[in-house]
Amino acid sequence: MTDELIRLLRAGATPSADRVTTEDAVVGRVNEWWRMSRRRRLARRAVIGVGALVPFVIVCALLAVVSRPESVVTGPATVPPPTSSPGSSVPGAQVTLPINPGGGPSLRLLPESPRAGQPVKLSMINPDGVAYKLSPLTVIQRKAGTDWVTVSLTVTYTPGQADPRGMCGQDEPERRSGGGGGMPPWADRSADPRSMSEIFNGDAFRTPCATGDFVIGADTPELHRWSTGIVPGEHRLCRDAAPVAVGGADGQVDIGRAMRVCTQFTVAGSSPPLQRVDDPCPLPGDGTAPTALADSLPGQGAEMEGRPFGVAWPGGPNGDSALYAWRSPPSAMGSEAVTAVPLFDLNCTVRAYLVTGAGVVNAEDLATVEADPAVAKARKSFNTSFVPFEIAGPDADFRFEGQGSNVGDIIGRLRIESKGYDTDVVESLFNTGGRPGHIPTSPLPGVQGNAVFYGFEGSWDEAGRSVIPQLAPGDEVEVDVGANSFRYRVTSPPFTSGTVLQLLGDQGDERITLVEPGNGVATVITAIRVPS
Amino acid sequence: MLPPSELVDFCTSQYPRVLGTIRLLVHDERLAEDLSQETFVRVCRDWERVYRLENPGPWVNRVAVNLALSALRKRGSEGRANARLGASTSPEATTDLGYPYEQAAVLDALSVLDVRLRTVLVLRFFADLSVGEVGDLLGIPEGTVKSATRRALDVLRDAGLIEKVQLHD
Repeated sequence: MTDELIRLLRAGATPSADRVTTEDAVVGRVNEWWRMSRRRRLARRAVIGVGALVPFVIVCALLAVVSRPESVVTGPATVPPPTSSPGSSVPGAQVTLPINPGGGPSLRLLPESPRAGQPVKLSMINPDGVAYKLSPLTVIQRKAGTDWVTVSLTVTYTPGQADPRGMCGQDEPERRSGGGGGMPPWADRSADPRSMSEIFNGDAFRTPCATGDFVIGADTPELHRWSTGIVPGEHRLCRDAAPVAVGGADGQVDIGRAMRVCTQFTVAGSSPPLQRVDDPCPLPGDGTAPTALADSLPGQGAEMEGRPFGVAWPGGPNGDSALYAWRSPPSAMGSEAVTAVPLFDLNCTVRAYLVTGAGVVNAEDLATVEADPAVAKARKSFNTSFVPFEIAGPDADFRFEGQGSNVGDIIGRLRIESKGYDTDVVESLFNTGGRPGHIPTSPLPGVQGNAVFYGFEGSWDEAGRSVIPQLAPGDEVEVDVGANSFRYRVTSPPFTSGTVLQLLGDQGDERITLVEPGNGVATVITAIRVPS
Repeated sequence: MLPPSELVDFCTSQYPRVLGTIRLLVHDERLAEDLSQETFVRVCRDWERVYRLENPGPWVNRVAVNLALSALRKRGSEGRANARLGASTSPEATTDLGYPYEQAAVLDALSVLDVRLRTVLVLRFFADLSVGEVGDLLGIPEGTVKSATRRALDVLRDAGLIEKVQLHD
């Protein structure tokens, strides 16, 4: 039957009569098949070639993304016009400016004084010594490969008002608590509604105690002199802006020299927190003013002997927290957004520095107050605790109250077994004796929130190397607080950031953040609580 | 550029068997020609590799059978879809194409069989592959090939198709 089946199958497979299947016909088909196969080979090679390009394109795209400055924001070519009558400031206006790829020129404001409602034209003019100078408050960066830079400005402007109260020529203004007659118009809104007009950098104005026009940006200590009347209400403070340079086609292009910039802020509350600053100048020497100043500050705490001095002040210029530090302009560490505004007394002597923004202040800067006997004497008269400030920022939900532990206490141990790291943790930011410090303003481990541990150089070292950059996702960090032990698991690789502050707030979970400030940036590692 | 003479020889020698195998499997002459052409285009495309094979026959069989089974699967899903939509796409009616009766009877008999049984049957008795070769090609054990062969023959015999075919011979 099998043979029969084979025969039948062959019969079934026989092509029908109208199909040409002679050998010659098949040879002709082979030629056709050969041509088709060649076309397919070519197409396949093309696909493979394109496919080989894909990783290259992806790498190029990644490189383009990576090389792009992260904080560049392109915005409108003009400052948004002031929205209300002469009075509203334009905080944080984003201005996009062209820069000269040829190098050399500075970016400056046009000489025209802007009026309320007018857009501010910003352009590039030659560095011919004209006093109009662009003074960025925050960051200027050049977007790679383009001729645009982005500037974030907070500026104030008084359109055409010079000495509206006719105070020029007076040797000294009246000293009046809470502002008033002695205050320049821009220092006290209640005294003169016009003072709420905005002063743009580069605008001319007069100060009551000087003749001639001053230009914001020039070396005008008078500005500071009048910025000490810190009473509830609208205020402006001025600060020295750091020289700013951006990269040009031929290297660095100097954008503008250091100059002073005024910022406007609101002091909330009914109790004038710094009212006594306007007392007759006590400094230098007797130390009474610092006492008075500090006593009047809300949020004050007992200063710890041997620690830098400062008082955190909720309700700073941007509604966020601020720190007052004495006598030394702290430099920012780990953030460019920290500014230190000198506060002058009526003798134009720096009384303190108002530290604002979000960031970490160099401990050594603050510690220099130790060298000043007057301040040291004043400090000893305090019996409240200084909370060693750290961080202030609208995004960092930070409070300056301690969490129940005394600053300086050893609150527990921190272990990273995988790295052989095991150390005490001090409830402090500074002077931790080479150990990491738990930032007192952050929650302790074991509760919801972000327990932040800061350790300056050497604090995280194990065998001479910092463990922070070595941590990887999955590594566990164990923190003992009292009799409790909490385990945390690293969730992402360490990264460096110049603006870590957004990360230090409560993220809605139980986590710890280990921070190692470095040269301008901080290395950060975050770990989430592991249920025990 | 002309195809190498070895390729021409190989194709002409293999074509009838490949075409017949596919035709018995898919029960559709035009589709069988298309699939045969696809098989040999692939042979041409990969000729440099196929040529170096010690025995290229199994390679060609594998391509042809895979193409045929894919086509059957596709036609099966299409048929089910069309059946849901009320259309008719059953394989071409052999008698309508003027096939000799015996040939039509063979194809009808094979179409009764499950695809796997039909494939085993065609490969063993038409393509003249050994039990081991069929097992290799289909990726099944030799025992399965043997049992499938038996079942296929049983089905044909039980249905009276073999006898019927023989009767009309």
